[in-house]
Formats: sequence, structure tokens, C-alpha cells
Amino acid sequence: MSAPALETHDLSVSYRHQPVLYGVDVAVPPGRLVGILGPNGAGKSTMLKAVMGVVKPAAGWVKIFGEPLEKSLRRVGYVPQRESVDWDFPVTVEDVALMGTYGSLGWFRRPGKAEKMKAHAALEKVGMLPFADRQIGELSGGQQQRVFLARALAQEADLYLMDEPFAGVDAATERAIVDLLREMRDRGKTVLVVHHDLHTAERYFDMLMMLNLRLVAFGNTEDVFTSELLDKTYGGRLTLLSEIAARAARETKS
Amino acid sequence: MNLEWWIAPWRSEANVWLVVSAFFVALACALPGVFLILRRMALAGDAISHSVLPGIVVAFLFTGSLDSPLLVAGAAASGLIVMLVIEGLHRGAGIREDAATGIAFTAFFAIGVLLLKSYAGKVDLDPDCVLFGSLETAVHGEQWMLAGLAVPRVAASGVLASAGVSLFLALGFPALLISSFDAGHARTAGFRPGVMNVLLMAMVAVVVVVAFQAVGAILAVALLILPGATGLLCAKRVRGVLAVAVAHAAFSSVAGLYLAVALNCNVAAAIVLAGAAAFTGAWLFGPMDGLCLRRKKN
Amino acid sequence: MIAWIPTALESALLAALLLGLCCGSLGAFVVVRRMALTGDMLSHAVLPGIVAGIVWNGSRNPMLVLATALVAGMAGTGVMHALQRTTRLKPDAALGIVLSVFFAAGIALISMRQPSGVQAYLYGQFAAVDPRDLMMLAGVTLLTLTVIAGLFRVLHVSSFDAGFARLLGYPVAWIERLFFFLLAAAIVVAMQAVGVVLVSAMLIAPAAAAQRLSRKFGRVVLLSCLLGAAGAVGGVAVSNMRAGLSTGPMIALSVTAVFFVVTLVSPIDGLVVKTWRHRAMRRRIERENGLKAVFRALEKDGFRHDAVPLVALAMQGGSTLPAAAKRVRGLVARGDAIWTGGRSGVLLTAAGRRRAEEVVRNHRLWERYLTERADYAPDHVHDDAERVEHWIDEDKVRRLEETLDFPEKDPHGRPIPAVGRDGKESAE
Repeated sequence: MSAPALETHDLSVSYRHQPVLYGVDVAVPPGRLVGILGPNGAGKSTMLKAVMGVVKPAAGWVKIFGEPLEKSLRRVGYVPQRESVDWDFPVTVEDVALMGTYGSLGWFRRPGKAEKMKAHAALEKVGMLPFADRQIGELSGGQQQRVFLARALAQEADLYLMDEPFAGVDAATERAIVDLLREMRDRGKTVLVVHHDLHTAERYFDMLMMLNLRLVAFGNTEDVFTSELLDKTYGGRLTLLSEIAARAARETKS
Repeated sequence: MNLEWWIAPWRSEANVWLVVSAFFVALACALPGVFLILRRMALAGDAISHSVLPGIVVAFLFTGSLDSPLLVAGAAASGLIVMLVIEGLHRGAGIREDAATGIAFTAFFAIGVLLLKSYAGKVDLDPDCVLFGSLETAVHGEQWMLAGLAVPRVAASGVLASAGVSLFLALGFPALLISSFDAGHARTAGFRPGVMNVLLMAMVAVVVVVAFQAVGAILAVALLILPGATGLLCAKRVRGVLAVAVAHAAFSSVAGLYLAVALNCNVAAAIVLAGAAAFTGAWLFGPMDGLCLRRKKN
Repeated sequence: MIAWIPTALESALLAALLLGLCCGSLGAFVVVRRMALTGDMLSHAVLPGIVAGIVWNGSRNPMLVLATALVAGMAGTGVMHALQRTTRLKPDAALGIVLSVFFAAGIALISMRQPSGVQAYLYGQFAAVDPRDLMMLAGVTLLTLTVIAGLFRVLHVSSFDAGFARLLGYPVAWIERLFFFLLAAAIVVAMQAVGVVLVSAMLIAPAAAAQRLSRKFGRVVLLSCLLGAAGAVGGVAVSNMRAGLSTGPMIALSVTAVFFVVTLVSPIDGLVVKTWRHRAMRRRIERENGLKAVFRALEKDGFRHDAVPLVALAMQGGSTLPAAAKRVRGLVARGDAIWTGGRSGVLLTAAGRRRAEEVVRNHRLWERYLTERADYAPDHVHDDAERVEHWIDEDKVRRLEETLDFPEKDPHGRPIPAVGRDGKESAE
């Protein structure tokens, strides 16, 4: 049995002394398409950021393919939340896709012909090649999302983390993205997607991770997509949990 | 104005050196400045440009010369220390970032001014230099012999700084680009955005020292920000922004000379004003956000 | 009327006092509005106006200079807003451009016309403050304090939440203009004293210090005034002690020093208090862990004895004998336990026993809560409970008990000690 694509133990993250994630234990098997569900402020994006090491966990650890984060970072591809991108940044669609190949180049080598082909292939795949020369701010929401998917594809990672790739995209793009994610899954990639449309969650994903400060449930969609667990996930915060955890985080930090 | 008016300034060797010095100083500032703007850290440039002062004065008191490389080291050190103090006040003591910046760099600047005035007799650093530099005297000042040519020190240090910055950009461009655009992605791609940040700040501190002697602490901010801002309004790729910034530096230094001659005013200020004019041009007619073009589009 | 002609020192002290009051009170608003660097921008942007005013009227009429400076400040602010609205430039770049370009315009004007008296605005010259400037300073300070006192509530609300202020029917745009006017006026008069760069220190440092002393905004404004005045007067006093210490930078350093001292010793979150609290916390946790270890050892023994031998305690805590002995000495010194001799060991006093039971109760209650309510597996809750057990106060205990319907066992089947049901608060 191969190592889980992603494993966390007791993962807790606090932001400004408020707990955002609390004691999350999860092991995601490789080759699955996983949706991360939960209400606003439930720690969905934070989960991805903690996996990437962008936010430092207050407690616990993360392993990727059985190895500590630092060793396996390059096997991780990332599609950021749309709001966190500076769309005025002077880069073109091609530049962004090309950045996906930087990881394999190291600090000093420049992207050459092979990298360009890789980037073009990725853009072709998401249907953005005709726009290669556009500045990213000139694109529609769906197109912008596709560009970042292309960057992730060009990266040739094994574990993909995507923060709301369906936010602000049209129906056609949404279908195209889902097809793409399934294809990636079929090629053995593991894809974690922060999602907040309950109507489509059941259809889109093999497995679901339900978060609300703590991990409410993780398992195959048909097992965990139940009204009881959904109630628990969306049924408001456990006030005692967040209050007491906040107190402990505040006192032990300062 | 006839042709003669346009040619006359170039007859003086000092003016030629003035433009050459100004160009290289502006170039050295413009290149890292582009990345300051892309990272929304323009005001870190402001903070560093003011806080190199105590480093310069202390290094000068030790070495007694304005040429010593220790000056650059001292300035870079105090520039980096102020960034650490800001970070410490912000993260450690929970002071908001803008207030932390304001407190830290004014304190450093005050220490610098105090030292400068306390040792006024021993320091032939003109206090005016602090605020607006004096390119004119710098050009007439000390000269270095390079390949049989007497080069003013300020020009030579400008060339050196530009070369250093260009080399840094040539080597580190992909890393700088990716960590400025998306730090999270840069991390997963194996780059270290934090390291790039420190390197960029160190680079800014070094170029600011060079600019300091030429145009002073405050106008250095203009040399850092204006070219990149102009580039951002003209180009859709970072390479293009850098190219426009270089052109902007060249234009400011040449047009600055003419402006200084026409108005009979301080050259450093004239260079900044010429640069501001170029920026205004980009603001009105630039292909990205040009006000006039936008009206046409609508 | 008695003509009072102040000495140089007297007028410097008076100017410092007024300046501290004026900048301190406005600074409190500047800091809560996150405008610290906008203040810096304004002090640079008014320069061309100041120079124009001086050039226009050679006698340096303070009112005229103030008026032209205000015009330049308004123009700078306008350009900054326009840049932010119409271009892709971010606020930091827009601010930096206005700051440096307007300053350059001022420098160009100075070098063209070489007006006298402009030096004071660039570098600050306390010595050059004449009675006319003092009158001006007094006027601006009085106006500022009057407006702030009179319109405190309005200014307060619109600083924190302009949208809400608009809903309340306040003329927010006019309040903004008034605030801007006062700020620019204060900056212009302060520049004469400390120079163009160090004005920011006068505005920000006292206010940031005051924020560390109180959470109530009214008090912050008051404290900011006082700290600003004290810092400025102190700066004048220090610079007067030795020749060569120029007054402007000394005042800036003095208010910054006030800020650092306050940050260190603030009773709310000063470093000294924090360190002290942290040590007290570590001592408390050490005590509670010691008590818990004794209790667990007693429990393991089925409460057949009242005392625990050192060996049993060491085994319970997984520690060495000397470490266990040290722990016991700590408990005895605090009156939580009595040492009854080598064979029988350590005996908890009533207070110690009570706290021990509370900590164990907290631990097990929390484990139970995590498994029952928060979907944790029973084998994952211990580490967390080890940390959290020290931070559950009596109110939270009641709520946990009620939520869980007064459980008697933890998820591992161990009993949850019943303490404090007699209504007495624990001695902490």
C-alpha cells in the first residue's frame, strides 16, 4: 500500500490567536478527487495553506506522499483563490503557464523550448492558447481560472490544491474544469478542491472532507454526504470548542 | 529655442558627466524599484531611503571618507535593521504596519541628523545632501581614474551599482518574478520568497546609498518608484516594464538637464520633475490605463 | 497689559508643549485611521506651497504660508486619489509618487528663487520660532483641541466606520475636509519646529504609545496629547543640556523613546508585563501538572493510601527521581502538599487536592467533549487535553457539564472527579 498523498496529524492553525483549524487528522489516499466542504470561515483555505506551508501550524504536522513537507513540496501544485491574485500584475497568459515549469528549472536556469512546449500544451488543454499573449487582467473570470489550471498542469505535480476553482466561472467553464479534474484523477493525480456548492459536490467528487474548525468527516462521498453530517458541518460553530481553544491559543502563544 | 540652445549644455564636460551619473544612478534605482512596486512595497523604499542616514554618518565618522565601501555596508546594515525593527514592532508588539514604519524610519532619520549635526565640524557631508543631494558638486568632486579617463566618483559608483543590480536581475529574474507574483506558488516550486525579499531589500539599501549622495533621501524615493510606475502603465509583461523603466531613467536624466538649464534650478529636483512629466504622459496616453485612450475606447 | 518677552528657552519649551498637544491629539486619529504614511505624504506635499507662500510675500507671513501650503496639500491628496482611481497603481506607489514629486517641485522652486526662511521648514529650527510663529502655533493648537473636544463623537464614529457615520446623518465629507484641514495646518506648523521628515514622528509615536495604554479611544486621545507634550518638552530640555544636540531631531527621538518605554512597560500588553505573566503561567502549569501527577498516582492505587511515594510519582510522570523530588519540593513550598517522609511520600493538602481534582476533571471533561461533540477519535484527544486543561475556567466547566449532561466517565472509561459542586470557588 503506497503512502497517502496527504496526511495530517493533529493539525491546528491559529490566526491572530483565534483557532481556524483544530486538531485535524486526515489521510487522503492517492488518485482521488476530493472536495473540501464547510461554511465560511471553517478553515477550508487555511487547510490548503497549511498543507503548502504558507501558514505555520500551531500544532501537528503534514506529510505529503509519506515525506515531510519540505522534501515533497515540488510534487504539490496550487491554484490560488481568485481574490488573492493581483490581476494587474504585468504578466501574460503564457508567462503564467510558463511559471508552472519554474520548479523543475531551479534558481538560475531559464525556461527553454521544452518548457515553452509544455506551457503551450497545458494552455491548449484548457483552451487558452489563443489568448497566450493577453495580460491576465484582460480575461474573464472563467478564463482567468483556466490560466491557473494550465499553470498547475504545466507543473506536472502529483498533488493538486485548488482554492475555489469554480468561483466566478460560467457553466461551460465549470463543466470543462470538472472534466479536466477527472482526467487528472484518472492519470493518478490527487486533487483537493475547496468547494462550496452543495448541489454539485455530490456529483463532482470521489471523496469529501468536511471541515468546521475541526474535521467533521472524511470519507467516500456516498458514505459521508448524509444530511446528518452536513447538518453537523454547516450547523454553526461549536462555540465551546472555539472559545476554549481560542483561550488556550491566546495564553500559550504570548 | 534654436538648435544652439539644445546643443549648448553638452559642450560642458561637467554636464555630460552629470547626465551620465544621473542615468546610472536612476537606472540602479529603477530596476529594483520595479519589483518594489509589484510587491506593493513602495513605502519600504521610502523607509529604507531615510534610514540609511545613520549608517552612512557612522561609517563616515569611522573611515573619514565618502568613498569607502564601508559606507555602503553601513548604510545597507541600517536599512536592513530598520526593516527588522518594523517587522518586530508589527509582528512582535502588534503595532500596525504603517505606524510601525512611520515610527521606525523617522527615529533612524532623527539619529542620523543628530549625528550629522553633532559632528558637523568633522563631517563635510552637507546637511542639504540629506534632503536633496547635490549632483552638481558630486560631479565636480572626487574623480577616479578609470582606463585613463577621469570619472567622477558618483558616476563610477552609479555604473557599479547598475552593473550589480543588472547582474542580480539577470541571474535571479525567474525567482524574483515568481515570488513577486504568487508567493504561495513560489514556495511549492522550491523558491524561497522570504530570501528573495531580503535580497531585494538589501539591493534597495545599496542603490539608495548611491542615490543618496546624488539626489538625497527623499528624491531617491522618486527614482525608485517613478520608472517602475511608468513602466506599469505602458507594458503588459515584467520585461517590458523593466525596459520602459530603463528608458524612463534615460529620459529623466537628459530631460532633467535641459529643465535644470531652462529653470536654473537644482538638477536632482529637475530630474525628478522630468521623470514626473514622463509619468504623467504614461498616465494620460499609456497603453494600459491611459486616460485619453480609455475615453476613446468607451 | 504686561509685555512678556520670552527667552529663547522659554519660547522653545512653550512651542514644544503646544506642538505636543496639537500633534498628539490629531495623531490619535491618524493612527486609528491607518493614515500614518498619509501624514508623511502631506508633510512633503505641502513644501511647494510653503515655498510659493514665502516667495510671494517676502516677509514670511505665517497665515499666507499656511494658506498656500494647504492648497498644495489638497492638490497632493487629489493627485494621489486620482492615481488610485484611474490607474492600476496601488496606494503605496501612488503615495510615494506624490510625496517625492511634490517635494521635488518644492526643491526646484527653492533653488530657483532662494527665498530666506524656508530652511526652517526643511530641517526645523526651534531657535527661529518667533512670537508670531508662537501665536500661530497657539492658534492652531487651540483650534484643533476645540474642534476635537466639540466634535469628538462625530470624529470618532466617522474615523472608525465612515459608512455608519453616513447612516447616522453626519456630513462625513465635511468632517473629512475639516480633519484634513486641521492635520495639514498642524503639519505645517510642526515642520517649522522639527523639519519635513520628522513631523511623522510627532504625529505617530505619541498616538501609538497611547494605544498601548488604553483601549478606550477617548483616553487614547487624551494620553496621546499628554505623551506628545511630555516627549516634546523632554526633547527640548535634553537638547538644551548640551550644545550641538539640535532640537528638532532630539524632540523626534524623545517622543520615539516615550513610545518604546510605553511599549515596554504598558500594563495592558507591555513586554515587561507579558514576560511576567508568561512566567506566572509557566509556574501555574508546572504546579498543576505536579498536582495532577500526584492525583493520578493516587488514583492508580485505587485511593487506598493518602500519600504517594516518590518512586510512584516518578513513574507516573515518566520522570527521574530528582525531577520528581524537585516537583514535590515546589508543591510543598506552595502549600499544596506535605512531605510525610521517605516511605509514605507526598500528601496533598486540601487546597492542593482540590486543584488536582479540578485539573483532572477539566482534562477528562474536555476529552469527552471532543469525542462526543466534535467528532474526534478517542485516541487523539489526550495531547490536546493536556494543553487545554489549564485554561478551562469555572464558567466553561459548567457549560461543558451541561452540554454533556453531567458525564461521569471520560472516553477511556475513567471517572471524572466531581469538584466544586458545593458552590465554593477554587482558590487560584
